[in-house]
Amino acid sequence: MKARSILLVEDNHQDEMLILRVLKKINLANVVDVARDGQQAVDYLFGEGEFAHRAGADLPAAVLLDIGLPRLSGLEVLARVRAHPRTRVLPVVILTSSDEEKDRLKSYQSGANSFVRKPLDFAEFAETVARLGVYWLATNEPPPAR
Amino acid sequence: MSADPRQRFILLATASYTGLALAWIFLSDQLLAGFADLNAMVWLSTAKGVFFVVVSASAFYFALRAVPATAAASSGSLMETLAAGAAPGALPRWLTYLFAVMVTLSMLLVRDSLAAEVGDQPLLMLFMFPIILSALLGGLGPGLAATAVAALGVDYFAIPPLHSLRIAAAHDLMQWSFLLVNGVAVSLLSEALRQSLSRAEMNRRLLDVVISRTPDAVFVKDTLGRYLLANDATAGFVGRAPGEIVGCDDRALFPDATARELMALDAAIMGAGRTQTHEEHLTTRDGRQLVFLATKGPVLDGAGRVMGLFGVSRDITDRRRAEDEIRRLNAQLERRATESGVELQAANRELEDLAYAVTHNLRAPLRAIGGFAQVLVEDHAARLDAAARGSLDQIMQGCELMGCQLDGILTLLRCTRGELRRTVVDMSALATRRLDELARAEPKRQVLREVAAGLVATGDQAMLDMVLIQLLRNAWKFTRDREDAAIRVLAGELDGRPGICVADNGAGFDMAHVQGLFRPFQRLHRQDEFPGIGIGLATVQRIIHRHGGEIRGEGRPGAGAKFCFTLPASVAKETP
Repeated sequence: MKARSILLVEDNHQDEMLILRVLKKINLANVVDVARDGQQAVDYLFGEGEFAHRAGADLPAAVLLDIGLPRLSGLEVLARVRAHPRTRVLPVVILTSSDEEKDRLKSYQSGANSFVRKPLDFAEFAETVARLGVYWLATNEPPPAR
Repeated sequence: MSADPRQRFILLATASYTGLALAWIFLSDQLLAGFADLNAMVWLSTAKGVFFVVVSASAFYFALRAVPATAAASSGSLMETLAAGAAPGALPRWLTYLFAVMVTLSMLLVRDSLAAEVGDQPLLMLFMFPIILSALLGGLGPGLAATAVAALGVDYFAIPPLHSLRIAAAHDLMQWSFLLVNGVAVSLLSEALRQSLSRAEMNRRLLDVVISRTPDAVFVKDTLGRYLLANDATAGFVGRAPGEIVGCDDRALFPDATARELMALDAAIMGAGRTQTHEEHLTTRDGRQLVFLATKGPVLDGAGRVMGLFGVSRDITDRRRAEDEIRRLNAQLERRATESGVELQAANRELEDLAYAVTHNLRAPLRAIGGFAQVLVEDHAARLDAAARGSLDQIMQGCELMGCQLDGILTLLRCTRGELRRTVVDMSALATRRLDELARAEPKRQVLREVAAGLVATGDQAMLDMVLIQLLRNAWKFTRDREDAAIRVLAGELDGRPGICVADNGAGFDMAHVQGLFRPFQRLHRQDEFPGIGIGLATVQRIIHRHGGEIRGEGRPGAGAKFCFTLPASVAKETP
């Protein structure tokens, strides 16, 4: 069975680089796909637009979703994911630098499985990202891929 | 219109003079015709002429004195004019005495010439004329003088024995005594009359001055609303002469609507029988809108019946306009203040939103700087010398400090964002929990922790928790160097209001620097003494102020610090 991937939705290139670096260190980088805005994320998940070739492909084991994204915000992406029968139970982890209480509340209300704040300090950040990767790819048993 | 009574008086005086003079000529000539003796007739004619001249001269004098006096009065009758002319002080005293003596002596002459014809009768009745005239003109003194001259003269020249002051016959003595008594009585009565006239005249003049000089409209109307009296101010307001107003009612002076209102109002006041003050909004015939403060009341006759209405009206149009203007400007000012207050609040809110967004957005690049510095250290350490690694260390330290500051600012800004959810908060429990956390984090430190039981406050639980976290963290930090460190949370007082205090026996601070205590990024200690970013107390103060409370700190270098705060509607009490 092919290893399930993780979809990282992140518009900040530096954050993306740092996250991938951390995941690479724990040998998980090769199963991470990256979408750089909300629309790409939706296209990826539903096999549409530039990701038409993914139509019918396996769903990722989890989505790491930022909130502040171009085109479609993280919360809008979350709403679409939850609205679609195929992705209704897809694990979605909000990974954001927002610490607004209302963002957290809104995320859970929209059906996020987890809400993680990006720590400012890089060491903490690296540790958090590594733990997320290990948990959602190795520890957690995802729902069926299709 | 003051010429009217003057004209009337001159006409009347001239006519009277003409009538009286003609009558005198006819009557006296008829009298003379009764005398047979030619010599006596010539004599009498001369005496009659002299008497006539004296009388008419004095009449002229009255007339000429009186006429200018009436000019000052706005309305005047013949009696008033006479009274004005005969008022005390109108003539020099010596002249009235001279007149008294002269007119009496001329009467003596007249009597003397008549005496031969009427059989040596004293004719005492004749002398009442000069006495009355003198008393009327000069009052008591001249009256008595005329009486004395007449009595002595008559006694000496006319009462037997002649050329002696003795009086032989009893009936002569009686008549003479009557003359004397009458003369004195007339003089006294005249004096009384003159004085009361003078008092009346004085009162009239005083009233006249008040009524004519006041800028207020003063008027009297009869029960039908016709003006009985109206001063110059009244006339000015309606644009008529005072003489034209008397006799008219308001319908002749004001437009119909205003006149109807006024007359209805006046009728109501006369009906109520009470003096009252109110505002009247009038439109004049030339279209001016005037506002009056009018005091109106009934005029009562001796029996208490309403016989008219008096009124004093002050023109307050300008004042009212000024008041309206003030009110309008005040309202405008208030509106502008509110508007600018709202604008200011909005601007403040925008600025804070901007500060929040900027601070927030700075976190990602900061993480990148720190992160890639870390990447250099981790992945390329072999190719870096010690100096390069030292520089990278400084970069990472800077990033850490900046990260703390950004977090501090975000915490500070969050205090004024969002809703304030007031509940009753158990401050004792919160303080105990936060102190225990601090103690757990540094188990090596021995700190005496005392939290008074039953401290309660009303406010937003999360924010009040932040207050305690910051204050206790500071207390914990600044007692670091003390063996016998103690931190107390207790009930206190601020400006007589109950509050809660956090006290420690740590490093304290100099009260000279108390001003900067609550300002963001202001620190009273060097970074190498006690690290920190100086945002904690600013956050605390913001929270307390947002709750409508006050906070104050006091300290002494080396002797600890104490921070007390109040929260409105908070109950801080110690239960035993």
